[in-house]
Amino acid sequence: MPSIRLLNRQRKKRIDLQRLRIFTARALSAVLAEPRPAEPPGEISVIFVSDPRIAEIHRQYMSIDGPTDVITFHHGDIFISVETAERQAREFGTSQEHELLLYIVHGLLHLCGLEDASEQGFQEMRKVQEKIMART
Amino acid sequence: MFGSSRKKLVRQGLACTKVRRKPAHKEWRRRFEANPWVKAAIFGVFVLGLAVLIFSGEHPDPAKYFLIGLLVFVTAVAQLWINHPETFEKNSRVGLVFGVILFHLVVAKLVTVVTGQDNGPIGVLLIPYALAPLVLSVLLGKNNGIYAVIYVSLWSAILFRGIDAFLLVMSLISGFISVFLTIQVRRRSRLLRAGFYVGLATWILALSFGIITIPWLQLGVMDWTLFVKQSAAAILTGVVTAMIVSGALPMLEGIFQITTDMSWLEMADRNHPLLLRLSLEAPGTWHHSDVVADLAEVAANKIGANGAICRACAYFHDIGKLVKPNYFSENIVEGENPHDDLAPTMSALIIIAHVKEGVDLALKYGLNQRIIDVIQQHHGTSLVAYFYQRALQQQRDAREGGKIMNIRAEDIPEVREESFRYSGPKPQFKECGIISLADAVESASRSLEKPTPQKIEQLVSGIISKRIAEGQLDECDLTLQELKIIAETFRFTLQNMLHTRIKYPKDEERAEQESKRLRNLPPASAA
Repeated sequence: MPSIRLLNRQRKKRIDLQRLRIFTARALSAVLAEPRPAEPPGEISVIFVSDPRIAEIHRQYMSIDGPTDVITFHHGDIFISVETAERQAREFGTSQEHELLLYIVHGLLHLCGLEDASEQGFQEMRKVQEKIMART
Repeated sequence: MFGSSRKKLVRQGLACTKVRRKPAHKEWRRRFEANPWVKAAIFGVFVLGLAVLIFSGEHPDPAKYFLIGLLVFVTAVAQLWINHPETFEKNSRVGLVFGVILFHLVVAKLVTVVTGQDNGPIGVLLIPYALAPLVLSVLLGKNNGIYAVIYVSLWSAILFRGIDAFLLVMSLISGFISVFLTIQVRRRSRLLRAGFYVGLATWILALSFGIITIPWLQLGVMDWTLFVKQSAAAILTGVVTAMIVSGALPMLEGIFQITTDMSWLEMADRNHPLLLRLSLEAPGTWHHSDVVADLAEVAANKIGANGAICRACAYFHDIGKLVKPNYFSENIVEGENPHDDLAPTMSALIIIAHVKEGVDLALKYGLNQRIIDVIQQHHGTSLVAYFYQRALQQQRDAREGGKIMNIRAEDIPEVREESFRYSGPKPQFKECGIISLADAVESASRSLEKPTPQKIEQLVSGIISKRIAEGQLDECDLTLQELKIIAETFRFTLQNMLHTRIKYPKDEERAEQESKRLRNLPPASAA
């Protein structure tokens, strides 16, 4: 089982890192129970950042302007914007924690080789995501 | 003697001062439950209470009604003895049934005495008809609830002036409704709903009996205030009764050591500190327990056993693995198997210890006795087969080597089967049997390479028939027919969980860095 660590690199929003650690551990074991096309890296970092920071990464590595919710690198880094999470939580009537966890699961599935570029892959990923969220 | 030698060993660092917790053997409780004198005392107190209630009233001829009440009591005891032996056997249950019924009668009497007859017939509407039926139905099941309905109605009908037929019928119908609505109550809010319907039923009955007079059918002045007062009394009494009952239930559960379904659902809380620890320190075990809970709950509901108990117990069944999580296969990181450096006997010792460690933790956290039973019994007296086989293999190798090295066969230690067996006991109740099977099936299903329906079917039926052959299920009351249903639901649930997804095209070139936005969110929300 890969080791996973959570880092808070932002100060704008308050997050409960300890609870997120617990639920991330649950999510990871549920993700690993699913069949996967690729092996995830041995060390995974989940890094919580602010909107400006994620916008910077977005621009630098993907040449897209503006913040986004989650960016996954195949070497095992998952960047997540807490501000975007809160915005979307308000919009969809979920909680900040639920959104953050959903992004983590999404990142983990990417690291296990799932892709959502095609319509089929996207539907598949969404299904697995829901299943894992129900398990965590 | 033993204590002092142990102290000496501890000083030398050869023994440990820790004492393993054990479930307290409540000898006095067992003796109390079976004692016939206690039962006689309960009956005596009840008859006394009945006498006080009847003689204190405005009965013209109390002795006659007391005799009727006494005869009804004789049938009540007989009925309990014949129809509800599981209640009759335990003094605490008998005490609960008659205590609650007596309390109900006292409240009914007080209500009528206090309200009197002068302020319109409102007293009869303020009697909490659902009180005893609700309490007993939720705590002891529907049969005891109906028992309460019948006897409470009979006795309340003779408590006040003569035999009150209206009251008898109202009490019967309200009581039956309350029992019917709480047959399988899983949420506390359902209790309030039951209370509301009971109030509504009382109101309708009172209307049809003419206890509540409808203003527009009356000649002369229309008395709206009385009508409103009476209607409110009827409905509010039902709701307030349910509120009081749901407040008193936790206390009664504690005193009489009964756990309701509502409490089981609360116990199956994934945020329990032990479960949070489990998911951090032994995530593999957490996931395993979670799947076992799913498997066991569905199967239990299918055969009419208690799914809520299964779920709560399954979550906690492996908490003993918190002590040495890395020694259990579901948590082992590839390439770092700590058992590689251990003798098979040692490995087996560590594996088997998780049962005792689990009981220890459960007692420390004050978990329910059923959960402790499941922790203790979920492996029964089965064999840690993998390490036993490994030990036998090592013994064979040693014998072969010994022949070459000229070592006598007696010098090679014998592999004793009992040191590879769990200490048991075997599962003692249905839910435990189901969890024990689900546990075995889940662990085995992890090693399935490509789970096809046939393979799953073989796996499930293989495990169950092996357990039957070993006699592990002999003491848990599961019938062969139930086992067949359990196997079928396991197969179905597993297949849904393990269904193989469409094959992925083998990695085409993947960019080194890439980002994926969650595309199920509309574009407006992202970027």
